Amino acid sequence: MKMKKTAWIMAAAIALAGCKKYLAEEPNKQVSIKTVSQLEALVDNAPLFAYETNQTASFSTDDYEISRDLYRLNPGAFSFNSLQYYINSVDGVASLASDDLWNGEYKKIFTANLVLDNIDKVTGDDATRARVKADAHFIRAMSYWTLANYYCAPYAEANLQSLGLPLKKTIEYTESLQRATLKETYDFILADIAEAENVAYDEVDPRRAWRVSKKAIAAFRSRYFLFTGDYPKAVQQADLALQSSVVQLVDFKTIKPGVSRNYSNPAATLQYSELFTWSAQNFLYWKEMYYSRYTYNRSWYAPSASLINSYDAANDLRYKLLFIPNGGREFSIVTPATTRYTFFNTGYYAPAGFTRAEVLLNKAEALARQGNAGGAMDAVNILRASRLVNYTPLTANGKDDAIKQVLAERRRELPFTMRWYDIRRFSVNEYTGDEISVVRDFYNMTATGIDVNTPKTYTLDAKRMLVPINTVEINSSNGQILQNPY
Amino acid sequence: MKLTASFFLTAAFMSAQAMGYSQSISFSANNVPLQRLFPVIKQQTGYVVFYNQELLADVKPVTVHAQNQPLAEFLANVLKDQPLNFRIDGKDIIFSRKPMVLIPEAIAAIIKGKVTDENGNPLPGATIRVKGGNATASTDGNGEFTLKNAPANATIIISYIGYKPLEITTDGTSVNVRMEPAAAALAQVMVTGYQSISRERATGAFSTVSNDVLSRRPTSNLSSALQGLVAGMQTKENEDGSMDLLIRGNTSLYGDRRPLVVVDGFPVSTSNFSDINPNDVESVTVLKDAAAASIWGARSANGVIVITTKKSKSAGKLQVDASAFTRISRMADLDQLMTQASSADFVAYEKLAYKNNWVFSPYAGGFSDIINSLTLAQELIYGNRDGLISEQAMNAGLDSLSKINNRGQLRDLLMQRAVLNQYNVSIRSGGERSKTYASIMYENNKGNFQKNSYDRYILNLQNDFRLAKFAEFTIGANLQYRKAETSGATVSELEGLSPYETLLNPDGSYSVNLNTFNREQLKHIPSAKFPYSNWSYNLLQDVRGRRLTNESLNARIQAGLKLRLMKGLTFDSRVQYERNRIDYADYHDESTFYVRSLVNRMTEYNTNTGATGKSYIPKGGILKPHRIGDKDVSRSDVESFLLRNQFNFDRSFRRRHAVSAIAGMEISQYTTNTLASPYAYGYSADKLQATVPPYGYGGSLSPITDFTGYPTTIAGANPVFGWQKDKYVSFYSNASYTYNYRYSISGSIRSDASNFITDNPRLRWSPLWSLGAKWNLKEEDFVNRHKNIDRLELRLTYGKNGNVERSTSTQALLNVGSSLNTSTGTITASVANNGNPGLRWEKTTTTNLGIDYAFFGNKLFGSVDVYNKVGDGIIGNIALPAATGTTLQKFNNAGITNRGIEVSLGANVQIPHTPVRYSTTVTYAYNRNRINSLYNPLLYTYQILDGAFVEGRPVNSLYSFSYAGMINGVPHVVGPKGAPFSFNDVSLYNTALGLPFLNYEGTTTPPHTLGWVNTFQVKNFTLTAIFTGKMGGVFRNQTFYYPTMVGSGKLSVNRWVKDVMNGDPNIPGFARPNEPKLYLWDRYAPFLSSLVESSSYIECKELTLEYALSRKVANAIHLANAKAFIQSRDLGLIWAANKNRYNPDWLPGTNRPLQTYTIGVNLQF
Repeated sequence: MKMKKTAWIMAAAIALAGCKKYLAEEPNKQVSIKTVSQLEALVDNAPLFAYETNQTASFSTDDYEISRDLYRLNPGAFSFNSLQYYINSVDGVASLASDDLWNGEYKKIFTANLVLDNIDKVTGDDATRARVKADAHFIRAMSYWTLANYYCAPYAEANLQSLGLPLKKTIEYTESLQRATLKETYDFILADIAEAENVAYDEVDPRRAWRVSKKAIAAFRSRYFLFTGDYPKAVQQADLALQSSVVQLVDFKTIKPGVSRNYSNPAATLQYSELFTWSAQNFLYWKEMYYSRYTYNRSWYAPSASLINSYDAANDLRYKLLFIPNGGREFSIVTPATTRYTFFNTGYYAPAGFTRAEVLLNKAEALARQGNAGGAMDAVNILRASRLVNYTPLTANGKDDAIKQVLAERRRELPFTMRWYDIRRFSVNEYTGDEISVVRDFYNMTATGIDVNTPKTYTLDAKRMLVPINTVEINSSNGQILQNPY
Repeated sequence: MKLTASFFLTAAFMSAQAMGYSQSISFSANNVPLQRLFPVIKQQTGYVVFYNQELLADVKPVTVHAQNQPLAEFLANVLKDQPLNFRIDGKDIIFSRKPMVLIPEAIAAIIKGKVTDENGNPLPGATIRVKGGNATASTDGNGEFTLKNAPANATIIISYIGYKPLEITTDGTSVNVRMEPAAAALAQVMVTGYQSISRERATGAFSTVSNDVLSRRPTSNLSSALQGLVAGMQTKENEDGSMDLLIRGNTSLYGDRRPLVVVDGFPVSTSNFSDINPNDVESVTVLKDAAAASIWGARSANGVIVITTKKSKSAGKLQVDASAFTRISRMADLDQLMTQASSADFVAYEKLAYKNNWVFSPYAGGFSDIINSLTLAQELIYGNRDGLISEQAMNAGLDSLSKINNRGQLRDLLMQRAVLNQYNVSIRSGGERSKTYASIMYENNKGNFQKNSYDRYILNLQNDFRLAKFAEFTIGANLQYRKAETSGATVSELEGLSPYETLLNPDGSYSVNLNTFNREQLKHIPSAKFPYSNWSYNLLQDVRGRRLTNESLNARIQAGLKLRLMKGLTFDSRVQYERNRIDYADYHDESTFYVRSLVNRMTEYNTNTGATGKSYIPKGGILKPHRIGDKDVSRSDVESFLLRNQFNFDRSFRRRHAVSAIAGMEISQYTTNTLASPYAYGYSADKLQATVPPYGYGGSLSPITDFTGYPTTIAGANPVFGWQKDKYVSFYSNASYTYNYRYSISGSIRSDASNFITDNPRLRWSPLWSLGAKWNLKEEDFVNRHKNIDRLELRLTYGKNGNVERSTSTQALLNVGSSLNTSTGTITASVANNGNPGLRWEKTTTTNLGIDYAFFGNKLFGSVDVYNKVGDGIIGNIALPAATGTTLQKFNNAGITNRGIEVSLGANVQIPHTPVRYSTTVTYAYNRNRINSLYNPLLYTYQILDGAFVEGRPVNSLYSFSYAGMINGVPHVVGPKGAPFSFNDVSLYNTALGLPFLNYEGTTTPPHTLGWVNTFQVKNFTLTAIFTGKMGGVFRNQTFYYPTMVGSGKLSVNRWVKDVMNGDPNIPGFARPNEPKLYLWDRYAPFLSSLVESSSYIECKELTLEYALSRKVANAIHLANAKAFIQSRDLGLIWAANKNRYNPDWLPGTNRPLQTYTIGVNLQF
């Protein structure tokens, strides 16, 4: 009977042994959040945060243009979706299947919230913990800032009580999605920036420009204060950022020619710069970057005539290297011959983060708007020296001329990526000579198609400077998220 | 009785019967009423008499004088002159009216005999009755019987549940018969893996496939022998002939949909049957409803397949079984395997495409075109354009290409007749204290492509020891080793060749197969300065130069201890350890294009100076892991461990109350380890040497560029590890009660917890349970009266089963890189899942109503089941506002219902006036599957066409576009608001919400399935024919995909170009000249509604002719049994609803199982 006894004991022991303890072991390693290094791996995943799929930036500004002829002869070259942005339709954009910019930025916000939710619970060393925490705050601030500058009213005293953004501060599904006011939105962004600054490293890490630093924060603030009209602070922050010894201007004269492509029927050889083949492993280390951000657009940046004409075609390397005459679509050329703007990686990525070039332009504009034409031109000329062959310094004749010249240079340096921001803020700032009107001479476009027999002109109005929120988003929030008034 | 897993139950049953026959009565009385005897019988023997008051109305008083008379004899004596019959059933004596047939005393005879099972073991309790008469008897514990009052030369019918009834005409000598097991529907027990429940008491819906049927279907994989036999089990065939099984429809969207596979009481980690020797299988029980399967708890919603392996049964005898078969396949049909157009059509299309300038990226003849492979025809066309050859030469060249057909060479040099040989030997032996079953199987297989083969060995050992009267110990081991080579060409490689590209030139040298590189451009670069001067590709050379192998080793060890604690109560402790390890190695030697082109491409080259620089990959062969899906794998290692402790209680009380119960707990864990080794570059198999890339692997830390100047990286720098461990703890119990053989009720409850389910105990431990009831109408007098009814049972069950979905977690999950990210030079992570805070088991509630019947002396038998399976808390992707961080998240928020009916009908008849015995089983099932709740309005067109889950539709729903015809030379589909939408704009396909304008066509999982097994037995020959059918589903026909000429890889033209050439109005015609967007047309073209057809078909799956040597002859050559058979499998379609007579499961372009011929023998010593 000894065996019987053993069996009983065995059964009892197993039944009583803590099932809970047995079941406590993780089913997968590295999958549940346990350590600081996992969270650091999240913020180190630059492609998660550095890219912005942005249709408005690509298609909605006066940097982009589809001539009537171009469309009529190549209707298949343009997607229905991008045309909705091109004519700045409200219903057309709102009723698209999804909105990549909104969805993408909120995904970044979720990831930042996930980091912040866990950062004090995980194991690991405290220096890394503090740095990762700063990154998460900055990521969240950047995304809210971007969203606010597309979907909400431009920053102006009069707009502060208008609709801001749904402010997600946690990873809970149950958190309210009602839109805060614009002021609350900006306050939240500033609070995140302040939180990030507490712990950030000072200098930009040249191997990890996607990690936040005090220099990157200064660069951000130079943009922020320029946008809010606080010009002295914009200059002050720009100067702070320009002290960086890591972030430098790239002399475009050193950019090598890249591969060429041949086309036939009609025959053409397109000469690209080496940047055309640069993939993330190269362009993430573009040494002008304080903080890695790129506008991503798989379609074709068709530059407008006014943008093309703004360059000194003979001497401006930005034009010579990045504007491919007759570049057309990616795989074939089109009639009439049309230029293609390309920056990195087949032209899919263009720098949108704070570059040394932008900081110089922020400073120049802030100085110009304060009436310091000489200082403004000095800043602009530093940039131009690295961009032009046979460089000659620009001079300005008084405040208005300085503003005009600085803004022209700004457009040449930052096409597509900054234009939408600028159109919006120029419409509300105190200066009246800088408004930009976006007028499209195109065809009548309905929900089902485009009628090339009915020309129509579209003009961007102030209300449409707020990008409509996607209808699917509004519906799936069960009405918590309100649409902008149009 | 062949109930290996129910050994103890069986033993108990047998001893009860033996006891019954040893009971005797002493009683004397004169002229007493019959009723007076009943209390006496009960008092002395414990037997209770059941009768109907009316029956006793005509009874005369009895006079009896018995001294220690056996009960049966006593009763026979008492009732001799009464109008009553009796029958002993368990502990009950049941009286019935005696038919009024009087047999003259003079011709009455006594028939004696013995009944044994198919293995010669005595069969106690078999019923013997005289055909047309009323004399009956049953066999005793030794299988012997004595039938009195039979007419001389009577025909007697011997029947036994689970066996085919036998009719024998007696000739005065004693009758010795061997019974044959009956077909599946009559099988006897429900084996759940935890216990075996006799058919009479089992309330659940289950089907059993017995060895009798399995042994007629020689196979390499058990699943292919199950096709067509089980109502409600849908099968989908794989390339190797094995089947993916689906029981009663899809119950999960993202979780496992395969049934749980249990071998001898333990779930096995590979549910594809690959490590089971089909010859070792005694029976297969398919558990379908909640009452049957719910004992498996959280993994049972998809049904459970319980496999019972053979064990040694009889004591003292050594039995050896040997079998062998050879299966030869037809030569592959290249028209089935490939979809390519004929050379003539191919060249014609290329000419047309050039003429019309249908190009993706025009061939301009610059360096950027160097990795833009042309076809041989295009080389001629562009050669002429660029002035390299004359028009005359081009035309002559094109003309000769259009006459070449490479298929003869493909067949001769790359393919072969598939052959499978299988040899199996098993030995059973046993004594009083120990029993052994041992088997060894060897199988070798040549696939239908040369250089595809495997060898496989399975060793199985099962030992049972009786340690003491109350203790038994069993131990078993199953070992499998399999070594396979998969170096043969693949269908996609064949399709990569133009139909006019041969493998060998007439002089025997490798001919040119164009791949990757443009030969014209290669001429302009100093190709000889690159590591390999030869840049050319040839499929045959690549196949010859590579060796892709895998080896798997599988071990399954089980041990168990069983203790008898008291009468009816036993305790089981069992343990299983399983290990399954597979190693992969892909070796490409340096003669292969794979190696040469990779090494050459990873070489620096300056297009301006024509100088080559660093070569980043060393010369030599490459040994690398195997690619499975999107992952490299060198080794996969699965280890599992399971321990179970269980109490069993089985007892009858006061004759009428039978109680059976089990209770137990088990813990288990499953650990998966995977490894992808770094690539070995410069590897030489004979020297066992390798080198690492001398300049690193690329990436942001050491950027490298390929020969075209693009940044690149070298694969396989780091080992990549994978690890996963699932743990389960389960408590379970099951009880059934049967009253008086008529009414049974059963209940089960099980609670599972796992380490991947939320630790909230309410959700983690949510119990799964079932209830069942059964009414055995045959025991009721109003049914029993009808002699033609042999069985009639009603079952009703209700309960909940669970399922496992592993992809979400209560917390957000990360996906952390295992090596440095090439872009960032750091370890990176991403959010794999945002978290499902309420994660719990998926639950499916099943209601099942079933009838089992057998009529006309078991000539007609079967069952009908109706079920309703309602899944709730099924994990589904639910739409969310993007502001929450995601637009879709998996929550336990979806519902699926499956409703259906299953009918199984068997017949077993002797065809009158012929020696032909015909038996047949038809199984028919209908399943209606619906996703009845799933909130996800955000379905893009392409997702729906890809088979996304749609609320209100079945799991595998199929959608299509309405074709709106050609408008201005461009085809259109009907888009939103009924407006035509151009093929030239992909936004409708990529980014539009598709439901409003797509057509729902039906389901690709056919709701109606049919299986029909026919067996004709004529003397020693048995002919079996198996037909299967699927009805009510739809499929998409393939079509032309409007390829562009250059720029998107080497052109391939499929055979449906013919439909376009013939001007079929239901599909788009050819594009207009210079159409720039032709390359987008294949987003729409394959999904037109005109291409959808019914997928219904009926096919003849198997035809087998078996010859069994008569026993006398066999014995004369010292064999116990000998059989030989020939079989043909996959004979083709009998009927198909589609116009091309395709088998919709195997459309052109698939490597389907071909018709095979098998010849084999089974010997028993």
